[in-house]
Amino acid sequence: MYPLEMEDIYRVLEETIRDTGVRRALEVSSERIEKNPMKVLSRYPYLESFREEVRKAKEEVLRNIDYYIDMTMKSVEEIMGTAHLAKSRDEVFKLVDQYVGEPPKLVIKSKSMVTEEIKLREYLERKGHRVVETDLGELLIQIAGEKPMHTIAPAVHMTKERAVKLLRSVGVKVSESSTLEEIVAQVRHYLRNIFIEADVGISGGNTIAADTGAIFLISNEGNIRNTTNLPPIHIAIISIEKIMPNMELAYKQALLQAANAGLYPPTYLSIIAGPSSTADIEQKRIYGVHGPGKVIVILYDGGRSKYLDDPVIWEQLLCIKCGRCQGVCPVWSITGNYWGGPVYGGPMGMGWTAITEDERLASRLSLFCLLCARCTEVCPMDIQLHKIIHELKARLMGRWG
Amino acid sequence: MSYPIEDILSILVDNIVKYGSPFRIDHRRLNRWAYENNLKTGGDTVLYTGLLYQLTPYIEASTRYLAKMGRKMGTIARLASKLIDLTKLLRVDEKTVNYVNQVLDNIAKMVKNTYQDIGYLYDKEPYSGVLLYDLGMIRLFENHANRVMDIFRENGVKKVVTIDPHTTHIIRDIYPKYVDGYDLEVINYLNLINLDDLEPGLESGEEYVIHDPCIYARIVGIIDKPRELLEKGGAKILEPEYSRQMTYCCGGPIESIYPELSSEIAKKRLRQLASKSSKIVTLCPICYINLSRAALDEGMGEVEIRDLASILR
Ligand code: SF4
Repeated sequence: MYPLEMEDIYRVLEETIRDTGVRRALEVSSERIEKNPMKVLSRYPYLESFREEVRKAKEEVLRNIDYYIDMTMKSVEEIMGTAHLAKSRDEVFKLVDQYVGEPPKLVIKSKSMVTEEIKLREYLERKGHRVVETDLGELLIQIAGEKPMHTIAPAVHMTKERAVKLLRSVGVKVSESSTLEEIVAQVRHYLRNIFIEADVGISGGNTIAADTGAIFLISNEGNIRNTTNLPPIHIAIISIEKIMPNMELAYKQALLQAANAGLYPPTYLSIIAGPSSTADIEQKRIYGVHGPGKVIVILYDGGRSKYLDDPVIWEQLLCIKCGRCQGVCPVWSITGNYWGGPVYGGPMGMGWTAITEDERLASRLSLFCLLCARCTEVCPMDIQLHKIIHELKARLMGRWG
Repeated sequence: MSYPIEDILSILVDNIVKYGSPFRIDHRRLNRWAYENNLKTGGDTVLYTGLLYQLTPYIEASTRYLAKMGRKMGTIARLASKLIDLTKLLRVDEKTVNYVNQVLDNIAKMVKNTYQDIGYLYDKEPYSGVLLYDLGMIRLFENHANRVMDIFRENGVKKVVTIDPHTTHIIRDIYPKYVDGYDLEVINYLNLINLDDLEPGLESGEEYVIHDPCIYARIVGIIDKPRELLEKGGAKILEPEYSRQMTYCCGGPIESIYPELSSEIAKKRLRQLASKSSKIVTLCPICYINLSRAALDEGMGEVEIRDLASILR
């Protein structure tokens, strides 16, 4: 389904270059992704000082990953959550099955790149569950059966006409003449009952603090609060490189990500530390009041630990997935994530495709990089993206001749 | 049909291995400037062009050729590269040859103000191998880099004055990782020129929009000097939407991988620049080629693209 050979990569890129609708949408959004963070960062200069601190902390975590995984899991258990470590997607599936239970269940999801990686939605659907994405962009992607175009804004390439067509196909009451406000209101209406009736809410996590087990989640639509709060069970699937040593640093990382995505202040920053509870009657603690009674954290490896010792590509693991490198990339601004693997595209997508999918595919894609280093220039984690991409080229072409 | 990437790369790479550069350069025509400036052969300090400027007419002609041959290029090129030297198929534009000579002539004159007896390697002048490196062809690049360093050593070269961003970066920052006992001193000509040596060669107040090459701005760290030089030359500098550290790529580096995508990027950059002024100044032959072609493709005849060195005196 996804391009693996050069021929397929060229075909996909060619189609994208010729698609004026996609081109126009990407043009507008790449400019926004380039400019918004600059405005935010100049207005809130203290954010600049978080960068080095956050990078150092992330390096520390990567150097001692087993220690921090262990600490995080213990912390989650201490706050009455349940913690698991899953090495592979199959291990995640098994755990999720265990908590979701026999189909059919109604499962709601907030947008998360990790669940995209493992194709969790598709898996649960195959099992006979009903799965609904609650982020509007991601919902559109789900209906369209596509892949997200950007880490933060999955449907940046979507035109209004197309969105209307897609939403109508699942019964959202919109028409060609609907205004954007009307579309959003109808989506709200459509999702309202789904939120209330859902059996399980599945989220990712922008970061998790090892010292407390608290999960940090950023959202602007508010869907993440509903997804993680309304169903009786909340499963958070978080990749291991997102662990931060403590609450303070996790908070800073979350703010830094939001700012570099150009969304600052984030409308919502949820900190979830275990299940909801009360001890108001006879001092006996009861779990699951208004929020979930069960909070399950699944720490997911998915190829990451293999790259901890990679002399060049390890740096990609410092990425906070703000997507800023994508917006500034001259290639991405024309191709979007069509220049990428099944999940990740653009500058950060080369390293991430190598880590989470296939290094050879990442290398082939890397040949289309200009090495102009605009990405490296803006990366808040100072990741030498163009060097990672060059290394990928070299791993494919190194023996040529 | 898929783009014949392997064939295209094979031709370029075979040429580098066989002749030392992606196209076989007519040294006599493209080193006219060096003869005219009486540069001595070799020596302790040489002007090192890495042939990037001299390749301009060939890259230009080959792109035209490719566009004409379209996707048939694969098989044709394969045959061509086996049977004949592809360079012979290319019709090089005399105007571009003259332009290149003029740019290099000016650079030589400016450099001579600082180093009166600067040398040049003439027909031994080696290509830097930057294309091999950028494509990730490390084994070939390593061989090439060592060959280049041997040429320098054989000719007693200890210090080189480079004149374009790609050659500067590759030979200064990348060669040391692949060449044992690397001890070359590298200086870029822009850092060498003394502002006081410049004559104002422009009508004062002439407006130019400046296009920073990515490699100068983000990697080599040359941003202010060209502006100072231009101002001293009498120009008024306009900054495009994306400039200095955030300068935008001209698309050139993926020309051989995917011309269509490369040209879309070039057009985008051209529009950004041209919205400030129809006079564009570049500092890199690759940017020059790409932006010029974009102007042609877009039918923007009024746009004039010049290398900084063609403006200064
Ligand atoms: S590589 Fe850097 S700029 Fe790109 S998404 Fe990751 S943190 Fe953001």
